[in-house]
Amino acid sequence: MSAAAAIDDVIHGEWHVRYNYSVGKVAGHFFEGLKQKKILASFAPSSGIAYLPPRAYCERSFEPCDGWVEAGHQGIIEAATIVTAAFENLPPPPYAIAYVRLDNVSTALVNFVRGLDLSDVPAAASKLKPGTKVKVVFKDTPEGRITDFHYELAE
Amino acid sequence: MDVFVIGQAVHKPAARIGDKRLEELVFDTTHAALADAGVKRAQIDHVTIAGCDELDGRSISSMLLAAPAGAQLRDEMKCTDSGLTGLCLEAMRLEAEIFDLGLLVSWSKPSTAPLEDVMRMRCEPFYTRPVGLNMAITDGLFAQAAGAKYGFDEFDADEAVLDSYRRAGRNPRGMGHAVPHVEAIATSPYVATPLRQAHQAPITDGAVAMVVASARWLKSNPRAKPLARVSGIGWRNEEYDLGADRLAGLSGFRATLDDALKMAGVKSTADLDLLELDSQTGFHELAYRAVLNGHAPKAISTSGGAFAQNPYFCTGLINAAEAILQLSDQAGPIQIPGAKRAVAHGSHGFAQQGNVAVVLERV
Repeated sequence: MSAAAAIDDVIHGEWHVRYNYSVGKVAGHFFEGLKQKKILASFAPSSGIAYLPPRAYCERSFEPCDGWVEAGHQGIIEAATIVTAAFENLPPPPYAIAYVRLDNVSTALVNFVRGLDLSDVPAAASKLKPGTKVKVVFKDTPEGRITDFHYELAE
Repeated sequence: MDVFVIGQAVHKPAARIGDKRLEELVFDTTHAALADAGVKRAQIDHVTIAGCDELDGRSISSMLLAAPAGAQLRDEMKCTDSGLTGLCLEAMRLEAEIFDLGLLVSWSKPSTAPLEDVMRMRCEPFYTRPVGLNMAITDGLFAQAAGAKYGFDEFDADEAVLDSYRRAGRNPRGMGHAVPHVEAIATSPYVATPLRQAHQAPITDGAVAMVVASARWLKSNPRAKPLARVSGIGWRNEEYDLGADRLAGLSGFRATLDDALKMAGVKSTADLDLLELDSQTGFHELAYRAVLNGHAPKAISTSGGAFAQNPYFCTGLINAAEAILQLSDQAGPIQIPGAKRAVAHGSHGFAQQGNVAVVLERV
């Protein structure tokens, strides 16, 4: 090995670490709701804000969210994108995601948007403008995970 | 605030600095900053370092990097948000009159690992990680939301990128990227609509170090020549979740600038000779400029900003170094004659969740 090659050499490294994240009461209630095909938002009486994803506390009033509101299964896109680049450990492109504010709640929740023809990306992107109405579609057998449902265009 | 930068060094950037391990990059940059200031490490009474463990690929990377940053047996604190946040921390340590002469050292070597895979780890595990977000994807969301609010589109972003590369091309301390044809920008592959690959500032490796002194130290060392005064600092963190208001409201950007300017006693961004923005994409450049509309500084990102060099995490502090060069008449071919007051801006987190601003003034 030449000196020039040695100075530009690298040592390869990888980490594999397993984590067990505590779900807690609020997310636990939310995930249990998903199993019943219900999307439950936590509610802060102090501010009147219904949070999705649910929070244990209101970020603005800094008081507990001690109520629950069931979100509608329709909502509007607040922001969306079609991912067309391949990233390690993410789904193969193309796929669409959107932050959607569902009926009866105050904040937007991200999930996949399915049912779009993504063969023409600009055309598909034009259908995902802010304000576009979407609906929630649950899988047949929910498991209590955020990916139990996705969004589809409502019209 | 009366804190003074008396020396600095910016490592020559590269897409990959392959001939130095991280410790060598940090040592060389720190050593050069001390030489620029004309002081010895023995005179330094504290060190502030700013680094990102995730990008470094080492947990608590300061355990290895404190020494090459000059911090052996010195009071040392580490900042993990961004390099420019490190300058705020360093300024506060001096303003508190606990210390008198400090080193601020920040580095980033994103070439070590796939940047977006590192960014993906920033997703919280319950609601966003199963869907998958990273810097580019959240920048795509930002681009759509900000474009809808401020009325720009990807063609405007093409022109903003072109303009950034033109400015960057005049900066002798940048990467010297060739200025692309606008058609090449407009036809580059989408990454996350409406964001195209060429809309993104290329990521580089880099490092920056500053020697920072209190007013008290300068008074007792009259031969030292300060390069610039830090007169105001500000920072804000916005919500994690990316609804329309969060993405396009730019509340953090506005409030950060307001805080820093208020501390410095400056009424408006229109009173600035220069604002160096941390614009990671052409869409960010357009959005920040839209917010500044009607109160624009005399010059914006003369250095080319992230399109000149972009060691992600340090880019805001590089902006500060460029502003300091302007205020000390050392900016070379991009010198703004007589520049008296500048602001360096930095951002970090998904869709610039965090914003930082530092007001710098000619001494």
